[in-house]
Amino acid sequence: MNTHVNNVIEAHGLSRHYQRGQIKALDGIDLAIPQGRIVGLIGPNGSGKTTALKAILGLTPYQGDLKVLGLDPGHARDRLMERVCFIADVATLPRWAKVKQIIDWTEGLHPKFDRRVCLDYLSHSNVRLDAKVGNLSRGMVVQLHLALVMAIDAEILVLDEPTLGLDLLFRKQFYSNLINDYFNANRTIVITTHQVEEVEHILTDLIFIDQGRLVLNASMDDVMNDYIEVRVSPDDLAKARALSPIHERAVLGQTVMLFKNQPKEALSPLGPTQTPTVSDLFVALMSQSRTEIKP
Amino acid sequence: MKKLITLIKKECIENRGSVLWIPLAISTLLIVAVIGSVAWHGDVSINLNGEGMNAIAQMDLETRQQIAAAILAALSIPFFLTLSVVVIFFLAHALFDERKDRSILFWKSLPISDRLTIGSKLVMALVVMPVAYWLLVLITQLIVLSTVSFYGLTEGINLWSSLWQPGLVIGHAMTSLTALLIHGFWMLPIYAWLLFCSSWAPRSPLMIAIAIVAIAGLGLSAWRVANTGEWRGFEPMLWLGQRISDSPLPLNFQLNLDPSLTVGNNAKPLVELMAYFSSAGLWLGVLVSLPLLAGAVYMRQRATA
Repeated sequence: MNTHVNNVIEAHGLSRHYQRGQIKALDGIDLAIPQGRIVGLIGPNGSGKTTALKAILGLTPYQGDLKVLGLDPGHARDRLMERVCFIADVATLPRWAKVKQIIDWTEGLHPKFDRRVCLDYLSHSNVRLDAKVGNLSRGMVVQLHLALVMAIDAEILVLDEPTLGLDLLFRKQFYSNLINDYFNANRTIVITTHQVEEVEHILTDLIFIDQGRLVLNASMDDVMNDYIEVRVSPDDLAKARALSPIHERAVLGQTVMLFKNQPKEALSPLGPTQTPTVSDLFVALMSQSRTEIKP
Repeated sequence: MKKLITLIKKECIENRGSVLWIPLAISTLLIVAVIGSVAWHGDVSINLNGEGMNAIAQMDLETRQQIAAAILAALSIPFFLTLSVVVIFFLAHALFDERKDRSILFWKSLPISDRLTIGSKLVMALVVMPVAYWLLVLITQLIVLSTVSFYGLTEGINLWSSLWQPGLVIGHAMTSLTALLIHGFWMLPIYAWLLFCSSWAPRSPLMIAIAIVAIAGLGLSAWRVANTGEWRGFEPMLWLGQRISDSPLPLNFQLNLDPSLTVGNNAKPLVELMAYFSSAGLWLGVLVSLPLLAGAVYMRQRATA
């Protein structure tokens, strides 16, 4: 009997090196993602987040231990894909195919695909079954891809920049469908995106990655408990700095400081406190991480 | 099996031009040419006007049957030549186009192994495309034979006894199908090379596949001249030419003209074609293909890295 927490993704020392180790896309990261979470994997361009996702999906070789649903993605991608879905990017559906054909093939190739569910989603969209993918708008292609994925009874859904290039309405609709119609306690969703503010309200866990290393790996509850932002009064700057803020930024002539693991009672006298947004936390931790890495 | 069938259906739709429209166009052209020559009574080159038919009708049975065999064989040549070219383009682009339009990421999001994907491409080249062309050859032959026979009847010439021999049509069909299927296995090292190049070439996979062979061949020829002073010609091209001329397709053409077909001895050409399976050339080719196919699987696994 497995006594561990039911981690659907577990990595130890996950690495991916290029050019004989000179470039480290992933530099020995450890990950443990439990079932039923929505994890945001956030990082700047070239941080290694897409490489990490590709390793999880069996799309790239890697070093270290990696288990996804107990399987080794490097050797069992086809078996893994029966239980894992991914949308790698918009516009990866074959442009020459018709919508109906793609549905037929997915049905023929995926044992957990439910055609009725897919058609039901599409009936609420503008996507016509006899349309060619190449003639659909970007938003419609994403709707089609989402309809295909939602109709698959998978345990993990991986989304790599799923809404890139879409307008705001489509982006909102996309995440709303995902949460209301797809997500449940048995499913885990891993999302990478640059539009952090659009996903932060749905995330249960947050992973920041930079230069192939994890900068943060915590639940949103922990983030809210551990990090506090204070809009420091000009008179209290010295007092606030004495409490070792991890980041400082200027907002409309005021100084906003980010503190980690400082009791709220100690910070409240310095000015109004608030929970940092994910994007503010990201900027703070990235600059901190880069300062630490610099010699 | 369900996955393989689905992948093959997908390949047929993706390549419907090569699998269906091109042979259909050839078939239509041939049929129109024959009907045209019959209708206008003027095309001496095809010799199917009333005069030509009368001349045929005057000949002895064996000669008439040989002429019928020649017509059937001639009708198949444009199809088989086109098929040989179409298969080369298909294989050179089979693993390239999905990388180019990035749809490989969609296919890899489905539970299909790289081996099955490449297997489906091979089944297309070795079985589906040849069978599609073969079927259209058969249909074309039947339509042409019917047209000529019908016209003969309207002119009072009975060509049924010479043209409509079950042994002849079935014999042709059986030898052609066997030859086409064995042809695929015979060409397997070339097919596997094209698939391998298709799996990694950054652009123009067919040009790259040819260029590598040409450069390697040039090097080999230069090395031989430098060391032995002997010029044996441009070796890879000689080898390729030899491989193609040794293939079952030219043999099939000869067999289709073999008089033994016309007397209903369908087994003889089949036995001759089956001899390929006991030739070292075929199995050596298969042996060379295996690492190339394994290489194509390896490169497709890494195509998304």
